Amino acid sequence: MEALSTTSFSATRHAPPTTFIYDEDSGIYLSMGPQHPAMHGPWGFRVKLQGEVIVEAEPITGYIHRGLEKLFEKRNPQQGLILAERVCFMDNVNWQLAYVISVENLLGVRDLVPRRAEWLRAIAAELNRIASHFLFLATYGHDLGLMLAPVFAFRERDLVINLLDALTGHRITYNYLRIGGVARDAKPSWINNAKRNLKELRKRMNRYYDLYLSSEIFAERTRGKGVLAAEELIRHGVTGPVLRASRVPLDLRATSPYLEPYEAVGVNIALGRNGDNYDRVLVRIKEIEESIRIAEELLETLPYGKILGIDQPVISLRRGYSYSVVEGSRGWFQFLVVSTGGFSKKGSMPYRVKISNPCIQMIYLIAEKLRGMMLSDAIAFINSMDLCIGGAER
Amino acid sequence: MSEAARLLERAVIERGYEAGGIPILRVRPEYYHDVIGLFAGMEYMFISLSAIHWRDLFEVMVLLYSLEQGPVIISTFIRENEEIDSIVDVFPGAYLYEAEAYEMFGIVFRGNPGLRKHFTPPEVETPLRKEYELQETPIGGWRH
Repeated sequence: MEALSTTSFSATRHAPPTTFIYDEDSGIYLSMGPQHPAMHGPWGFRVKLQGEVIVEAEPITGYIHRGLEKLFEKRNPQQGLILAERVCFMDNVNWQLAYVISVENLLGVRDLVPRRAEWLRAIAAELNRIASHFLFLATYGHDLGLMLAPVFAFRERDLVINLLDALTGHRITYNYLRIGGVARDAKPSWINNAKRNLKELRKRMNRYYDLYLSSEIFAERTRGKGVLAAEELIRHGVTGPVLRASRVPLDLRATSPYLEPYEAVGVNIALGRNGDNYDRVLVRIKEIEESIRIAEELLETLPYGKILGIDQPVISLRRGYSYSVVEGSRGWFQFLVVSTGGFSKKGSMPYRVKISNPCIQMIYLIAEKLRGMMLSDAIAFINSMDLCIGGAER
Repeated sequence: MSEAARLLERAVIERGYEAGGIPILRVRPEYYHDVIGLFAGMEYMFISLSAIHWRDLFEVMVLLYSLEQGPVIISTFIRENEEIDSIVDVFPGAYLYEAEAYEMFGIVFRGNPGLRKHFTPPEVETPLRKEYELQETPIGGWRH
């Protein structure tokens, strides 16, 4: 009877939340994540606050490690294709591309890939990059209180995803690439549809400059906040839009093209000026525009011919090391495939596969930069890096 | 002969290429840190670090990139129970890569303060070693 009394009930109900630990000497500890409305993905930071200023920040990881690298050791190259795109769902064509290039180099069949397949790979990769950047614009706008941003950006992302759906047959995990080519050809009707949609998308891009860059709320929370110097990023090995926002012209598509079509159409590198939150958004908007241009030009110059250079599933591997690097939407997506060349009933399994994600470096860079920052700026800064924790922990 | 050339002559065991054409420099483990420092001075940036478990050896591979020279891989072999110098003083970006190699293989990087579990639950030990069988691991409590 005592247990049901009102006092004991209210005492449990109004117990202090466990995430706040008050320590008189040193201030307040606060857990941002892993369940937090503004943290994307199951990860977070344990921060120590003095007043509103963060004095210490420790990353909390370990919720989404899937052991992908171990799983690769029990898959032949053909089965590995499906696993490769599950590294990060947001930009999976580029992840699969990194894997496919790596395996093709190891087998020495890179030259067998038909030109049409290379073009289709690049088109799919660019469309996926556009979709990924729109997802960033939607969620980042939402985090900063631009409630209209997700409405527009998700609509635009859907337009691109519908195109990829019509090309590949799936909306999220496309499984489009094959070792030696691509899985499906683009029909003339799809090409016309894609051109029409990309033209429409290009028209709508002006709205993003209005929506984000002329918004006062947005400017207040991003301009001059979370500034990252180029030297610091280079020391940490950060690549991708974050590095380009700090004025370092490093884009693999332009500096050392890994696909022939990038060489054919040329890629202009989008650069920021100061390396603050604002520039990181600006660079991504510019990159969407550039990707639209690249995709449009590739659709115009799409060569005729076969789409698959090897007409059977590839289940064997040659002995050796193979490293491939691809410019993804978050930086350099890397696959190291090591094979000893053995062959079993199921085909040859790679001896070791290492997936290196550029987001890993960002985790500790963010923790370092959070020190001394206001708590209210933290979310604006963390999310401007567009980190994919599922991809980082693999 | 310059100091850099002398260091490379002492350190490098073998030169080769991976399948895509990136040069690989195999260096002696005692010179590994110095060679990485040498490349850092030549405006190379750190990209990633990988580890491989061969039968009784571990291989540590570091991918570096420079805008002028392109990519290069520095690789070194160490024995079981042997330690290797950490490169976080040169490239702080290697912090979590080394911690991951420690967690997955048990390789100890001298001087890295973050050698603890970051990704796997407490009861899983060195899962990427070859003797660790792929299995359904019962997951216990998560502590942070």
